[in-house]
Amino acid sequence: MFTVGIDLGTTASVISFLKDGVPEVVQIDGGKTVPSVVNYSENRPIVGNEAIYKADDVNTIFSVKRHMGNDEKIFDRSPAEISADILSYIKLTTEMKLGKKIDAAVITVPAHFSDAQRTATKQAASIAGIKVLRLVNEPTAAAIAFGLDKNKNGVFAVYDLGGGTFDFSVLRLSNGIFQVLATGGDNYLGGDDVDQMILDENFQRNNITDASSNEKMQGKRVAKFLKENLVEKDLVEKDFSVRNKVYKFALSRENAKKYLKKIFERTFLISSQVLEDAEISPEDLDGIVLVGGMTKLSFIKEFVSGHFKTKIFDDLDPEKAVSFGAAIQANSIVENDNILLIDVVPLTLGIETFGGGVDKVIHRNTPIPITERREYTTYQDNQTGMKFRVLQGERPLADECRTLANFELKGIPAMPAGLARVIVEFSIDVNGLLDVKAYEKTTGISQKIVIESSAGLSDSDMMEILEKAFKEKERDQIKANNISIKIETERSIRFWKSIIKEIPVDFQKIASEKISKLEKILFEEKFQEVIPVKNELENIFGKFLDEIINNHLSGKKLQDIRGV
Amino acid sequence: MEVVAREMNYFEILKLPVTYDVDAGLLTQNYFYLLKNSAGSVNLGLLNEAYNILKNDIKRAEYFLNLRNISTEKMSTELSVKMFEIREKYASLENDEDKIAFQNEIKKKRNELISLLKKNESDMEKFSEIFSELKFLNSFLEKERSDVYSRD
Repeated sequence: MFTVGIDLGTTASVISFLKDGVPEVVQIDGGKTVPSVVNYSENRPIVGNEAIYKADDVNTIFSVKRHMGNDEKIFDRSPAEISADILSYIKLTTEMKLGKKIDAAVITVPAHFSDAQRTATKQAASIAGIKVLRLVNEPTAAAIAFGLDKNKNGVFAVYDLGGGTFDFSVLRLSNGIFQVLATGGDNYLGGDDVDQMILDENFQRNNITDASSNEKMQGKRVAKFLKENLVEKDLVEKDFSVRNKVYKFALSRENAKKYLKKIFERTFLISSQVLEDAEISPEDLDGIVLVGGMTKLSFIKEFVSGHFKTKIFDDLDPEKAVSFGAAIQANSIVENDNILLIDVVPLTLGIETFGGGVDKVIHRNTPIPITERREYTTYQDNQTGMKFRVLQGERPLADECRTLANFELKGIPAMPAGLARVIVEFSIDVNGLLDVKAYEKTTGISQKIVIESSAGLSDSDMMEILEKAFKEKERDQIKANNISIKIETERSIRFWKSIIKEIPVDFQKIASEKISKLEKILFEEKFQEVIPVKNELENIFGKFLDEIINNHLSGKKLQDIRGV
Repeated sequence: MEVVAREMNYFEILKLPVTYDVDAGLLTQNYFYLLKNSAGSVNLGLLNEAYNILKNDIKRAEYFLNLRNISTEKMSTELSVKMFEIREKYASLENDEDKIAFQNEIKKKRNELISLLKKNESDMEKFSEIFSELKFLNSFLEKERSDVYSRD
């Protein structure tokens, strides 16, 4: 059985598998990661670098993960369907590369993902024809990769600070058992906040008040550039034009430190709460594992080690770690080996009480799978129905929590107030998905509620999409053979030809020779020879892809570069 | 909390003596052992349920009382007054530093009550009295710290 681990990321996705017991990333399009970008300008979705390159505002979607679980349509597609296009692309390319079919996968999700977001992720996988062994939380997956790599035992924290979110998890590692003790975080805390502060400072200093929204977006990229380039320097500068006037944008070490400190202080506040939830005092930590793009910044070690006074592990490749952990976990589930993962509920689940309060049924950081029950009773004589509102969140008032579902238990036999015994049962499975059941104990009248919340795809939507996917299955199967190789390769060739002028001249000649060779192979239908040559080309272009894409995104006209 | 009649209680599931003063190291050790060595024979959900209750000093106390059919809802007048005073005092605090200091004081008190529980498990009346106060202090603290995360 061939299994993989997929890190379905906000900006980029990674797929890994185990080769002789060691995790390895599948290189797609010559890079470790596939940008999570989809373009719908053609009749088939275009995914990854080519989608970025195509990026026409009207047909391209970036960061679809941020919309997961929302009840909205983008280009007439649900977020789950768009994610499915990313997953399909990753799946098919991997199968083509490795020459074998993927039987099942572990897919990672942020620890704080809600029920609706998890459901949407599972739906995306099933639309893409991927059997999901389990959804695993990202920090947990990173810890698995770390723990197995280092063969560690003890209590460790995973400090995950990315562009937009912060997650902090505490785990106990004990001879192949990974027990999450507690997890917490903030969905709106990360590098983006720092970029915004840098941008505000520069706009203010230069008295820029009339920037267009597009210029503001470009400005944020410049801010990010300044932040990332402030390594061992006291000041970085970069020109930036607004309304055809050029300004000098700058970031000093002092200011960067000031901005980052604000972010770090908030992360430390959250960390101390998570540690308290885990019943671990900071000095009991055997180390902190740093994950996430922001932790690559030069200041971070200084701040984090200054605060926690424990060993810092920052040698994990943050881009790979999560998918590595997922691949290890996938293999472990099918092989039934000795790696065991106990995760927890990230957010408290409850029922609205009389007067708008919350009765917490399953507290956050409860190990999963778990089932908990509550007993309620009628408050009026001959009351035959009872309404319930299922809530998620830590706030004390129902209206401040997220509503997952509303339901009503009907048909309670008429009896005096306070005699009916209504049991509400919450069950959370290993994927973190919730199932709610309610029944009247004396009569056995019951109701099972499927939590669809107001978001995600309904069952009938799902059937329709799966039917459509089924009809296209024929096409999908063909994809795995020669015709798909032909189509995919032709598309790659088209893409390479469009960017060949942007790679260094020395490489242009060899690349164009290889492209001709590949075209000849396709023409002669010698499909078994395609992959090696395609790989060589991917390696050549892969070296420069980031730079080309970056230039492209920072608004330079391609025509100017190409001289077309 | 409702205790569903089962053949084995949580202590038995985790192969521990039925005492409030649980050896935390042994609890985790047994939990891990059962997780690893009884695949299929033990319901993972039930094992988690048992572990989750027993590892927590407050939930374990409540369960301990429930096993003996002692209500955990009753409250003395004396305690009601005490609770009222605590809430009033906290509400009168204006700056965050004072609030945190007050919370830390309550935390300290909570930990003292937990140690006291461990010493009084033979006297169920005393045990139940201490528990009522502990339960209140704990819910007070829970309410005050729900503000730190922002997940929506």
